[in-house]
Amino acid sequence: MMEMLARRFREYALLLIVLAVLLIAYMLYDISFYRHHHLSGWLLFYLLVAQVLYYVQKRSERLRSLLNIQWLSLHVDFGIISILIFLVHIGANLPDGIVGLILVGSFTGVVVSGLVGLRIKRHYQAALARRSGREIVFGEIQARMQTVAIQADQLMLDCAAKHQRSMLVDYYRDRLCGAMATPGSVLAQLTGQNDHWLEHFGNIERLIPYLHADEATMARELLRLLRTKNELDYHYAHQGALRVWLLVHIPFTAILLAFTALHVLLVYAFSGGA
Amino acid sequence: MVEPEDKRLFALYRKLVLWTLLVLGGLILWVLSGDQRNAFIQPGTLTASHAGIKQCDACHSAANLGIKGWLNSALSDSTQHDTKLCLNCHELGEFPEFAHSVSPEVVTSITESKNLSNSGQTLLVKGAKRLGWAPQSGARLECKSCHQEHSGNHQLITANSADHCQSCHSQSFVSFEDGHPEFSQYPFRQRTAINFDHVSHINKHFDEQQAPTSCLTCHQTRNQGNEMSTLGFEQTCSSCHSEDIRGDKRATATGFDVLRVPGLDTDTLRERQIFIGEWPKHADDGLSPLMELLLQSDSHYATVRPVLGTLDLMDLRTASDEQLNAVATLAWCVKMLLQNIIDGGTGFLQKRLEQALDRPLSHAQIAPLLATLPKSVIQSASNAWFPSLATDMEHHMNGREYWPDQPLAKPAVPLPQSSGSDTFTEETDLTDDALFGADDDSELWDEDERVEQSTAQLAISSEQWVKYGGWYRDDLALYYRPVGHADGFLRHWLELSANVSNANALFQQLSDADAPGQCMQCHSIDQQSGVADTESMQNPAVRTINWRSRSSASDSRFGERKFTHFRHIPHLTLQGDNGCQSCHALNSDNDYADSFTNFDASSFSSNFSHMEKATCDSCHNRSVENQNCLSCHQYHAGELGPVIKSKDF
Repeated sequence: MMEMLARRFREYALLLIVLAVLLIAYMLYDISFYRHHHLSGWLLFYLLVAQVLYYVQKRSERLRSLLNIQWLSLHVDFGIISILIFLVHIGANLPDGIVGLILVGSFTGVVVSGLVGLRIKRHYQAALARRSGREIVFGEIQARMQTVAIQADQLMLDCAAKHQRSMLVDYYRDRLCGAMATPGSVLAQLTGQNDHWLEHFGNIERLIPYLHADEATMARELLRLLRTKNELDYHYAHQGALRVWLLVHIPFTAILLAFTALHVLLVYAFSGGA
Repeated sequence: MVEPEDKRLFALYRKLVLWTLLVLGGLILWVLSGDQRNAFIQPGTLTASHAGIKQCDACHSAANLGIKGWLNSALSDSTQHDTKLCLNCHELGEFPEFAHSVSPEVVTSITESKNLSNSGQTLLVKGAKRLGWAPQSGARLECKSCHQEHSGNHQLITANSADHCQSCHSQSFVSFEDGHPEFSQYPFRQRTAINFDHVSHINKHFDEQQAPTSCLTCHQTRNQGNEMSTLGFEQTCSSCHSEDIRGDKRATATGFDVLRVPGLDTDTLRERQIFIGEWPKHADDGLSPLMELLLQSDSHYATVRPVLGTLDLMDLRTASDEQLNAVATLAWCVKMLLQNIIDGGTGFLQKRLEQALDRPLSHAQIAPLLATLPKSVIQSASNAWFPSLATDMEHHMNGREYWPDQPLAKPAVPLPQSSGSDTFTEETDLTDDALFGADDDSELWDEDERVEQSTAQLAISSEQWVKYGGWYRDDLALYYRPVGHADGFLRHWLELSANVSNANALFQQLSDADAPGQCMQCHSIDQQSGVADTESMQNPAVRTINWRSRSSASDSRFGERKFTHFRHIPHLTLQGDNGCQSCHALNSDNDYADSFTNFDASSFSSNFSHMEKATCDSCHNRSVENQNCLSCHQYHAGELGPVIKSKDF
């Protein structure tokens, strides 16, 4: 714990130093009659490219081995620096040109989705790690849900064959059958508000004293399958969230890149060239 | 756990990025090729001063290009083109792209002349200099280095920080309060345009009734308080000095002698058989400078002029034959001039002047120089001076010599004669009868009328008669008496002669402090900085007469726009009990009058003590008022035209 705090402290201290150096360089550049907007603009551009490399390295083993660095940490640090430089670049004023507004909008989208993603990543990964010792692969969750649903259906069919009238079968048919094969409410899982599903556990447990012995055994097996389904729902919701935020973050990044290119072109074409 | 190796997910991201870029690219290209292109790429609102500009190409050379053109423009250096577009509207003189819009040599010379030392600098300035980022001496600067556009209409496009200025200046300091050099002769960089001695007027000349009640009696703010101006003559000096200008109390002639018959030693000429025809015996003065100027383009006069040299025309007893012949030529040239003026009128005068000046004169230029001179004035003067001028000239042209006391053949037209003096104003309509009326041989006057006329002449002289200005003849000269302050005739002759080398004698006559009109008693004459007095006399084109209280020939390094400016209005409420003298204290020790003994405006002693920096930094310090350089200094100095150039038709 102490080691992690020390590492954090070192990282933030380094970040502050880098920011201070950049700010001083910017001010020196400014008073020296250079185009200070160009300095901050190019810094932003390089930081943007560096952050895009984070996604490239995920697909590139060579890049990962070439640069043995904490990619995520760097991505986040660069993001924080970018926010400050962006504010300096726009003079903390909202531009009133269309391209400028789109740039501010897309940058804000990238930042907000990035911060949300960072929160999701850190919080949900820790939660998932705490939840289960066994790794559940996101791509297999729906298949496993199907398996659990088939097992539950088969169990209830067996129960119905043995007992003409079974409260357990009736309860399953009326309340659970349709929900077993599909993922449950993602929002309920993410917010921890899945009481309606947990209610089923209590209802079935309260039925057990009134069931035949073999029927009670089947009820306990059904409870196990329901718990598995709940676990799969939990993983599905949280692992899904870890992926879905990128579907916002990445398009905003693409918009930002496209308009940055246009912005650079316009700035140089209309301010006398490079 | 998240599986980054999830190929399906990455494929989705890839598709998402690809489609996003494709859609965006298409949209951008569509907008850029449409009518809304300029509205789309416009980066922000223009400042209020440029808000009227609707076309991008007024300021951007790339505005009308396509995307390919933009790429070329972005990859090449077209800064100069865009700066030139700024200069299409903004006149910044000969050196618009150099620091302060003045030549780098001037900037260097000022820097060297100041010989200041660094008295401290902010950390940023120190850093910029240490890194060598600041613009080097003589570097070209772009307009946009200091002026940022498209930042909104509330932005001040001229705003700049003190550190900006300090980063360029080789001698720097922290702030006005901390390290700004002491003022050097501020605000007086040269003598005043008008020779007005405040000390002597306040302490000696102003009596109780005439004394101004405050400085504002004569000085008022103008140009929105940016300047203090002096009110005009009529509102200030006229109550005491109008009579001086009209010459009411002068012992000498009140008028400017335009034409004068020179006195000649006619006895010697007759004795040496040098024939000059009729010549007034009592003429005893020299040629008037203006008459001499008119004679200069007469080839005969030009030939003998060197021979005449310093010859005493009134005593020719020791003169050589060559000199006597030269005097005779002078005499005939004078007569010829008069005859030509009578015959040719103002057209002849214009031609003569153009020949003397060696340049054409427009109607606007010649009109004030002749002061609507009536023919009758010249005719009358000629009749009085040379009653037989026409006959004289006729005989002379025919090569016949005669002496005035010899009987002459009666001229075809009776020649008029006049009495000793006449008065003419522009409205005077002198008919031939009137002109000939003074002729002793005339029978138009009876005895009573003669007595009446001579009584009137005794009662008022022709000079007195033109008390309020105009033409008059007194004895052997034709005078022009100034009508009052700012007399156009005197003013234009002064300006003309100041700038023409062969009219130097005329300029000397008119610019004498006691000359009629006494113009130069108050109006100073400047010469171009760096030209010595003697040099200036030989090349008077550098002379400028300061007709107004603000000198036109100011510090030649900067022209009209100085580095320093001061707004009086915000400071007027800060005066203490001493009023204006809180800042402008009278200095009785200086010899103010001595400043006007030559043409050098920069060599002077002021009526007022120089201001000290302490006066300003009592307010302009870190705790009271801003210390920005631009509060008192303006960046663009030099010979600047109007801020906005007018378009050519």
